[in-house]
Amino acid sequence: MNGRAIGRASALAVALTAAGCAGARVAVTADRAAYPISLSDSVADGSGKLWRRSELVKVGTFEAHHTSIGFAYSALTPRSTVDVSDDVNAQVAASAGEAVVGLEITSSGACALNNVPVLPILPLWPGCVRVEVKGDIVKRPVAPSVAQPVARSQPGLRPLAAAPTTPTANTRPLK
Amino acid sequence: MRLQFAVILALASAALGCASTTLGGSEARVPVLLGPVPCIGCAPGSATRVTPATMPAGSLRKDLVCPFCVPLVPGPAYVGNWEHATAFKRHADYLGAPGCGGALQLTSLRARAWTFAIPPFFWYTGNGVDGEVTAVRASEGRCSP
Repeated sequence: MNGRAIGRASALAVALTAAGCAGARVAVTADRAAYPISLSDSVADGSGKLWRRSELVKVGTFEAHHTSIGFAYSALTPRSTVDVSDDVNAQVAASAGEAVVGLEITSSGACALNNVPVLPILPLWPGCVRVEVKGDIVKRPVAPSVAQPVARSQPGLRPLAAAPTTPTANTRPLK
Repeated sequence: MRLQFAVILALASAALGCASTTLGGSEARVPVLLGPVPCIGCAPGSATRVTPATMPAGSLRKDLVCPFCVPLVPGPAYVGNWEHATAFKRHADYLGAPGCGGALQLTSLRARAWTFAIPPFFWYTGNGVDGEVTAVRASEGRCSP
């Protein structure tokens, strides 16, 4: 009898462990960004020249963060997409920058919900994920002429003066 | 004794609450792009894929804090961290990103965090950022020698 009880308890423990825990998961996108965003220290311009961070002028710091709540052991996250496009467009425009380089995406469970004792075993108990996105807003030291022949001759490229003008709700006028 | 117990619980919870993982690409030799604009002054979506191949990319960290897992040891008995940082440099080589005008495009980017705990015995937490990369030609044109 004791052996059977221990077996049941062990099976329950294994099932609970395998079932999951408190947390959340989200997709991170920048589908409507009007500026190039690079996780590396470099970004190219329309002529094909590769600009390293050391050659660029840092004009600001890009920063966005978002916390999403998930249920059912993180299988269900209502706000499951974090789109940083509006943040990028607004902050780069406000800094008069041309790109974001050195982007870093950080995931953490820095909220109390995940660390409440025992209750995360329950599927209805909410969990969370905090996403932080940081990078440097940069621009080239001297912007090339709009009439640059290489840029004009390439399909898919447009003059620099007309490049980052996608209007967004958060875009602020330059000061 | 009760105070010690409370302190251990508080420290374990606080330590796991601060755990995080970061996906970055500062070591890459080519741009690692997120979003549709491949280069300064380029139109969204103007990058072209070099090959259809993709590779997984991600950063994962797991922590296990186990105060009472080892009997007679009051306090954290074991803390384990496994952290994997994506080497975008190797991705660029493997996927054949062009040295001139080449870049990596990051897609299907996801972030997650979870915790499983049975206090005071153990806390197990994980944080991850993962996605896929593919090689693209971000821009045509000249390259510096």
